[in-house]
Amino acid sequence: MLLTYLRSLLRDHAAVDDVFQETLVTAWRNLHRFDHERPFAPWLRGIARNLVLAHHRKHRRLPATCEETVLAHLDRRLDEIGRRAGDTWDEKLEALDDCLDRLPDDTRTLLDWHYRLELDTARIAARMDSNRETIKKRLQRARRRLLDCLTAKGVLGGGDPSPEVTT
Amino acid sequence: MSDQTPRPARSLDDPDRIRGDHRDSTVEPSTMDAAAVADDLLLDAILAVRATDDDASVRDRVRAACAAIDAPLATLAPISATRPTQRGRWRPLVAAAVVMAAAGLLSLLVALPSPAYATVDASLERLTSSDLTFRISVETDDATAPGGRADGRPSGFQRRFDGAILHVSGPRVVMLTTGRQDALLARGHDGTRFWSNHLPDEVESAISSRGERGIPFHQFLDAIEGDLRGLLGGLRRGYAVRRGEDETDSRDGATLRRFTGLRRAGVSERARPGSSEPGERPRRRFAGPPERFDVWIDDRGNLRRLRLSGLPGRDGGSIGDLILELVDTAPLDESIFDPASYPEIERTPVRRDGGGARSPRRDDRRPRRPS
Repeated sequence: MLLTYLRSLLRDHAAVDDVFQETLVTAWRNLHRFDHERPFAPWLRGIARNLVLAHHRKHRRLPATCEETVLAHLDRRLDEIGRRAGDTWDEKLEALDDCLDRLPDDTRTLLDWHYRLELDTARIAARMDSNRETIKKRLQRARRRLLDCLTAKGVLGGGDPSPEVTT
Repeated sequence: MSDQTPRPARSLDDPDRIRGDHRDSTVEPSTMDAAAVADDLLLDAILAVRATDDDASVRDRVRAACAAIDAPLATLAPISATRPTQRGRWRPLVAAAVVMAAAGLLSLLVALPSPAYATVDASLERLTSSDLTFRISVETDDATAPGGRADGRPSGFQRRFDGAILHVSGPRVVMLTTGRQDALLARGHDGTRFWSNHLPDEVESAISSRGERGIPFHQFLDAIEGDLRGLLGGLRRGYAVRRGEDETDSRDGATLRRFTGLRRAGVSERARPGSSEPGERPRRRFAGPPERFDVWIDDRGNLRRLRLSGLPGRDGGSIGDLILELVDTAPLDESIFDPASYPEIERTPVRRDGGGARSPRRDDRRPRRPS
């Protein structure tokens, strides 16, 4: 979950790795400050968020994706997933497999190229004889469909936030 | 979707352009409200993490953090400074005791592994880090096996692999021997290339994915070595693993822990590690992952038996179950993985890593025997 959170706020793999490590180190060093009556994951994400913001400030850039309302909504979403049944992150997101299978083949191919093969939109556009903006829109629509599917399955958007049990 | 009134996010520059980082952003904050931006970022991250981060890389991250915890903060170099271009290269562990204690905690914090996953992980990893010898057996369902087994004859898959002996010695060093017509047929991978001392027509069948002649050899190796490691990496996402009843090994009375993995719904070929890049000819292995696997692990963590059940054939039916039984853990002479150890039948490289399958018939249409 921590990794997903960082990936959503940082685009650079190396930065993700650095902040991931820094987050765990900071958490470890400040474990005595953690209130054991409260859920752990939000506390860890709080540390991560501060480090992400510090990372952006250090590089003199604060992207829109780090706006407070965006971060708050992201936190809520992760809490929702955290409350799902399952020991692991993958188990909590098991429904995603089914949602992916419901996508049309060409959309799955698009997602496969972009996420598994890590092809950027320009390369995908060249392969598909399309343009970059169209590919971006298609990816966005695919993610939207997955979001709707996960919402319909109750993975997202369900109930009041309550303390999560696992991280 | 959102429990708050959507309002436009402040119009900031496209993060793509601001950061110049190498991950291609397809999230467009300037055109979406804050909740939608957050949702899109989340899905983007979920898909990215799911596609590129396996359990091993997460463990590496945790280990690196553990190493960092043990080091004075001021001496810490950013991970990216030590390996600027690649993921997966981490500082070595220091002060084992402290680190392990930290690892225990941080593993719990980051990705609580269930005992079942952890145990199976460790045992499968031994497959590529130890010298192990397995006997292979194949069980097929006569009614469903491709090729028509109604007459009771064994399937091609069964003929090929039932009774074979598999030697494993580290990553991608394997050899399989089968006996046929009084000949020792050996096929292997010496770490860099596949080889076979078979007649070329046998090799041809080994690299052909046409027909229903069973699983081609390099595909079999992939299944044993590559796909098994893929299985390891994809264990959490691909299979629900549960511990079963302990059993006793009839050979030595050892208590074996049994774990069963059932394929999760939606896990298909597209999600498997090692799939070929779209647009290229698919590197077909089995037509899909097994429906189920069972492993029996002894108290030393050795994988005593592995059963892959419900291996799907290309027609969608099952081609049978593949069973590996550990018969020896004695160190193996590395020469047995060398094709030069089998001079009696001309060796024919089947495929080099990174290259496509090469049919020897393209170069030499006639089977050749050594003079």
